[in-house]
Amino acid sequence: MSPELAFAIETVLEAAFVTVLVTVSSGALGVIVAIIGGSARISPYRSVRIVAGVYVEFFRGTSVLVQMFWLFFVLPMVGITLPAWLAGTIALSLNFGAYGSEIVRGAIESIPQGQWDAATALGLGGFRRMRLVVLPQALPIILPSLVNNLVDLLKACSLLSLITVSDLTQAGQILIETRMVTIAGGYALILVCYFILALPVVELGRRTERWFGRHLTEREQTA
Amino acid sequence: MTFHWDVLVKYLPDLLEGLRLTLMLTALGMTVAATLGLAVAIARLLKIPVVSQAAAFYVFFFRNTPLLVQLFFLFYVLPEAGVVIDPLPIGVLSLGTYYGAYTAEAYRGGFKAVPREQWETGTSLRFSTLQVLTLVIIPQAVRPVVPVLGNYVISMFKESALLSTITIYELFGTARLLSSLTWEYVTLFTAVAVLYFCISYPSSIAVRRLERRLRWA
Repeated sequence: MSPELAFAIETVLEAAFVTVLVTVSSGALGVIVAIIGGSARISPYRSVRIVAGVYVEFFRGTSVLVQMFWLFFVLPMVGITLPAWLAGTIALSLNFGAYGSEIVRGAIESIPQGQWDAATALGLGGFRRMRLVVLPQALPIILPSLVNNLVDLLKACSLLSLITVSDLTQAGQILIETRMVTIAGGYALILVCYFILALPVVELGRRTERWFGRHLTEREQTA
Repeated sequence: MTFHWDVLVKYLPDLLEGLRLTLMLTALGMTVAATLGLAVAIARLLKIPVVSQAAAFYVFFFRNTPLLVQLFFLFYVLPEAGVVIDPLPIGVLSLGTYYGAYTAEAYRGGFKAVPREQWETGTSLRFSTLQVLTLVIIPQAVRPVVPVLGNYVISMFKESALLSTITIYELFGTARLLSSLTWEYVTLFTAVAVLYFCISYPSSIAVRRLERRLRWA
């Protein structure tokens, strides 16, 4: 293998690893944010609902790019300097979490009132009622939608290149700048790389949908 | 450094000018997306050989790759291929082809929801395929899709900030340029975020209302 080819493969693989790592970590963080945010939106406390509502609507009302640039350029101005990858991961997590919050809220609201009442009758308080009774039933509705949103998260990771993170998109630009590939070839290569990364996520989305679909009908049949 | 109202007042006209361009790009991009998506959905519906498979691949590929890279590809490749056009049409084209893949899926859902009998009735009235499609099927298929398209307009409006990377000075591009000159990142980026929100939030409420009205109509 020629040293150029080895360099190219190494650059792309390393960058793909960064992209995957950021997708997975901001996805995991985002799920936590989503569960907190979604539950907060139906909290009995008005102030909690308002804070959660402002967060969700604001992050859904602006794009990830604007959010990422805001964290990357504005925070240093007020004395908080985050490394680029961290600012990017936080922006992606908060954005993913805002969309996720709506999914969680919708799912929680779809749980019949009787379930809440039954849990209360069994002496389960707010947090335990949520954890033991409501969330387990909401999960089959939440998970497939979250996995589908994961593709959007993976795509949004391409924005990291704009705040100097060496992700897949930047790897393509490096290969182009070093004249290893033509401009067309470089960007086509990166598009194909993202496409390949997205395939398992899409497949996972299909499977979770099918699995939970079957699971739900089975449970409804036995009920 | 903090938020400066005087800076905001000074540059607000420029930002609003950028917002005007953003809205224009969104309108043009959505026109491309809505038309392209409909054509693609019809090609898949009629199962035209080769075209139908190509359409399916287009939808799958464009939905599962980042808009940013698609945009760069078009921006750098089209001039290289000898088609020298300026950034604006490339931006519109890129938004249109990306969201066209999404609208195609939305229309497909709309077509699926039209009962088979509608086709049969049209055919038995001796309508040609084209007539059945344009006079019977499309009007019924598109109606429930309108709110979905509305949501894509809002997404496109927000995502069009990406066009700032190909030297288009729309709303976000204007803020990037001005803040790199003045170092007023806090004021300008915050103002821009608020401007995006002020348009997209009321729009999403309007779309939700439209959705409810169509459901009960």
